[in-house]
Amino acid sequence: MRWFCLCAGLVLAGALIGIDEVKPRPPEATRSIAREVLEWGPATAGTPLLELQGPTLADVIAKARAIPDLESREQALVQIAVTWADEDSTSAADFLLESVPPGQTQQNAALGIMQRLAVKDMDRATAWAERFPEELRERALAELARISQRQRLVLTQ
Amino acid sequence: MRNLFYSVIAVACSVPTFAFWPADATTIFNSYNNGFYVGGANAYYKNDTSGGRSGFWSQAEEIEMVEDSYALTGLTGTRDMITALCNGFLTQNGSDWTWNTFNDDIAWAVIAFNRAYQMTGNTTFRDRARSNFDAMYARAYDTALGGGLWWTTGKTSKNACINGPASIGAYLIYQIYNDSSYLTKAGNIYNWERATLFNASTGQVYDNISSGGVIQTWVFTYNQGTFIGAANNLGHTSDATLAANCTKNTLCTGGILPDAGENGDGGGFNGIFLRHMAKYMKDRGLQGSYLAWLQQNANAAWNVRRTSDNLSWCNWRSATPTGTRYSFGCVNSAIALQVIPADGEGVFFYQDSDFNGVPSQLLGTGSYTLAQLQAKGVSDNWASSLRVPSGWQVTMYQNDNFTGTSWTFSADSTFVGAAANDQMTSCKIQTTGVIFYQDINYGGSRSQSIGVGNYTMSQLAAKGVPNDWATSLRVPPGRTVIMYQNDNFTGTSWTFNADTSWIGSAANDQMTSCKIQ
Repeated sequence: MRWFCLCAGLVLAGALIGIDEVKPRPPEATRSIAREVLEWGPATAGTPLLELQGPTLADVIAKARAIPDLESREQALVQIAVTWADEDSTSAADFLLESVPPGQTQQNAALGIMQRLAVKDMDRATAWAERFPEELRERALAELARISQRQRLVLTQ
Repeated sequence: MRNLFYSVIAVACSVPTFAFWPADATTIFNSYNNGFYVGGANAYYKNDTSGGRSGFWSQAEEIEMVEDSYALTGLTGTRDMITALCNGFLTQNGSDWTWNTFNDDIAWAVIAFNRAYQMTGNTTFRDRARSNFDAMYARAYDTALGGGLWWTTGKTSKNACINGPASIGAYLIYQIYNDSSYLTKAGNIYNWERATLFNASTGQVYDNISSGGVIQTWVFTYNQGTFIGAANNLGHTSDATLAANCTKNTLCTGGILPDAGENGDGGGFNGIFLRHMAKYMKDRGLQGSYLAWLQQNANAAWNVRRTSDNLSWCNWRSATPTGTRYSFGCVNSAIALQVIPADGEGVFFYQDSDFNGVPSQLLGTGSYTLAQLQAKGVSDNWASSLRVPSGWQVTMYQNDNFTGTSWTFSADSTFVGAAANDQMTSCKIQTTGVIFYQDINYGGSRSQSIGVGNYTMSQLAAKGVPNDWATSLRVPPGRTVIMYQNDNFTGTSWTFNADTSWIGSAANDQMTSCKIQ
């Protein structure tokens, strides 16, 4: 797995790039995320993930990548990415870019990661969104505006 | 006519009541679509038809607005729009929505897709609603704080904005699948929200409780609305009434729902409230308590529209500004006119020009002496403007009993003219052709005004009369309408020589062709 090369950022036009160049956390360290993915898994990714007992995130990733059906596999990988993002958005973004091919699914998942980053660090989320391809950037900035409005509401109370 | 200054004050301080027609619902719906719908993208756009598609939850709510319209009219074209919009939503957001951290976003879309299935029969929409509800519920529910659903995957608070819609979404899945486990979920979610966020003394639905157990006591109309909707589904009418009365008596000013910023989530709050409130009123037969208030809001929404394109924003005390508007900021008004029934179609007189000042009550066809006009809220020598439905005609007389100088109007008039201003003492109102209506008492959708002739099924359809559809009709003086059960003037027939608010159970929704003589 190319955990570090993507952090340097892709420069292809219209492609997503990572959040920043912070070294992402390796998946072995995140057992809690693995458990959470397993809790969600049956609804959208089918049952294979449930077969694992006490896995690491690396185990879950490996299992997800082995799902034969393309759509189910991508759904599982997206679930891992967005769940991971609640704990570590940078690693989640890099995992997403490496694991899910460019397209609508990848873009939606990037939005999900950006949402999760925004509630913790709006500036980093905004900086990342600004580098999105144009169409996704519009959606992302609108979503950030919405989250920002809500945060301002909280602060004014 | 009052002077301009007085008129401005009147607009600012009062909102006329009972001043929108059933046909206005179609007008504002079409105007909204003209303003924001992009057919090629199967989506509503954020501002005008630019600025990109509406976001996740606002798109879902805009789909619900179309569903509200379909529930009102039953038009095939509107049903097709629901299908197109849901397909567009899936294209944009995928079939698995759990990438979205906001559980409430998913719940709103679940409601929209369940309703879409109920209206179109498209099982893809049903399946997407259920699978995404299941996924959302699995990650959102836990026993912390006594139960209920977390607002986001960050699990910082459990909010009314997820629990109300989730209860409604679960209830819809229960209805569709007859799976009682979803009824249990709907009930449990509701019970938690009631126990945790509902003030059973005041009827307020508080916004959220934090993970630390602190209740945030903001009160928003959309939370009041979804609470009422969930309570109505589950038969908790006392709770629903308390929340409704709280909204009416404490959140409204002069009866009108609160203003909101048009470019934010709040832009759509009131529409959500009205949707569930109107359904509660209808389901429980509470028109006597709530209809006038809801009509006041729908009327306010209609009256603040800008007449250049009939778009109406979310602040119902001031006119919709010129320039680019936001689709979500205009959706409330469109919803209001879809879900709140009008009193019917007819003529309104206004004390001032431009439909300002005190309005009259709705006047149907007939001849009105001064005494009869006064009973409808029209004083002698008082009217300065009037609204006249398409196919109707008003003759104003300077003196009582239809004498003296007369003036005739067959369309809306923002000013009756210097000669007629403040002159009317009696009047006659009639239709110029036959008009068929979808519902009893000249309600629901209506046809064009139709002149003398014989009309087959296809010819009626071209005039806005679907097959087996008509329930009431207006007939001009001297005309006769013969309705036929079958095409080409065959089968059982029914004859009408005057306005008929209910054509009878035998003829109802039976007409396929007709003759107008």
